[in-house]
Amino acid sequence: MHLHRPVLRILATGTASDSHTWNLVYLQLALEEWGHRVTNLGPCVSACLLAAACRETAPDLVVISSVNGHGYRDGLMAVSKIRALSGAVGAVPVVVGGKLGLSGSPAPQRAARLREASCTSHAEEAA
Amino acid sequence: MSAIPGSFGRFVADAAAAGDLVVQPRMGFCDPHRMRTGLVRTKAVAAATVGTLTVDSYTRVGDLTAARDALTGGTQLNGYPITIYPSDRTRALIDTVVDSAFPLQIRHGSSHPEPIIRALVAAGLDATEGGPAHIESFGGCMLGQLCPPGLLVALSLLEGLFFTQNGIRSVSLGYAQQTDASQDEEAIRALRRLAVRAGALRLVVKTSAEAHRIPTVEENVHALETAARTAAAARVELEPHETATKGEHEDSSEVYAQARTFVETTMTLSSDTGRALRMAFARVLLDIPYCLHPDNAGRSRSFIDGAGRLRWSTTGAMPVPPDLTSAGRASMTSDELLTALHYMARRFDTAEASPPND
Repeated sequence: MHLHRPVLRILATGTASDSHTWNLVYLQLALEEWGHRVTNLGPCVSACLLAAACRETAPDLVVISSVNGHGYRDGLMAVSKIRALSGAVGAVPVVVGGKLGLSGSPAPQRAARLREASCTSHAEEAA
Repeated sequence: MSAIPGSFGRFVADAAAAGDLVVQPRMGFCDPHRMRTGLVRTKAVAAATVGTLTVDSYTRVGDLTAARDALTGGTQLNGYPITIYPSDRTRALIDTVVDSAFPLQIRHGSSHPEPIIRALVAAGLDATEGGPAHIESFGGCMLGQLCPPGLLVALSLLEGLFFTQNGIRSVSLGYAQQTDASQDEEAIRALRRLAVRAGALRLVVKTSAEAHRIPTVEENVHALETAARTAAAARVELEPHETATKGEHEDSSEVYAQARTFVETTMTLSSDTGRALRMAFARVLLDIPYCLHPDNAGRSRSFIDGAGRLRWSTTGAMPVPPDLTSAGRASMTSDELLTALHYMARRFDTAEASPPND
């Protein structure tokens, strides 16, 4: 059943301020089980380091995971850095997910800001 | 590993000598008033407590611009930004709360803690992970979960040796509760024995029991009192083990054997422990399961066996064999990983949960 699904080269990463790792280990295992190839940058990855890794590996998809509640701010900076890259890699699909804010329920204005920054998709978990 | 008078280390050592377990919350608030309230309430707990002040994520990674922006923009940080606030504010926060009967430890988890250490010294504090006067190892609670205790014990000890080689006289070796109580007891005994072998003059082993981030002061207070009561009850059962002076040949502890193998293998690489640690990771003689750090090979894997003990399914190039009971096991799937991570929570929430691999 997975035969016709394209194999993506995926760059998985935590955000600049987030030291959580199990979310990233889980993401890698799950994505690999779906047949994709994953490079896992781990936690505390600055926007600059993430952009450099994108330039170096030219992934098909970037997955950013946040647990510490600063995913919105850090994710926005990461997406902006990637979009500033020249060439095709600057247009790589970027997905941000997890706990994007410290408190309260998902905020529509945060989603709008992420879309304005050309974040391809986001999934926000209520805190 | 002696303790400085009036210090955090001294307090823990004195409490241990008196037979009391010191309990410590995880606590860090952005708002100084809330932080002070948390410390006041912790101090009032009916147990031997020490205070904790945990810094926020941006302070931890040294991104002070982000921390300032968040504060200016009215966003709460997830901890206390000690390097942003003036030291007077921190002094006022701890004034008349923190004293020789209630020491405070700053917890940061930072790989570049110098500005944090400067800030805490400026505020008149003395204890943190990473110095300046008293250091606690990170190794014991490395990743928190799913690392077989033999390796956690070895890392804690190697870190302690590294600190003492670099002139730190007061060191705590930490060990965090894992999945199985008897395996944890073995681990604590192994840590004590190895530390004594390594020349520790005075030894305090602090255990921490925590499964979740504890979000409120009230829950913290409740948790601390529960922990102290549980420890008082457990000490009665532990006493015969703790006071027994076992010879090498009498203790067939698997945790001790593995920890000793890891320590000895690493120590043969260089007399400089820092260099020996780097070499051991480069040669994959030490390999933390599921650790994503680029210097960690990530070839080892662990699982929780039918009895609830943490074991090795794959050990890569490390000098210990994988556990035979798991021969032929496939790697843990994402679903199995989630189950294993939730194992502790389910066990304590439902009391009767069975191990994940049954």
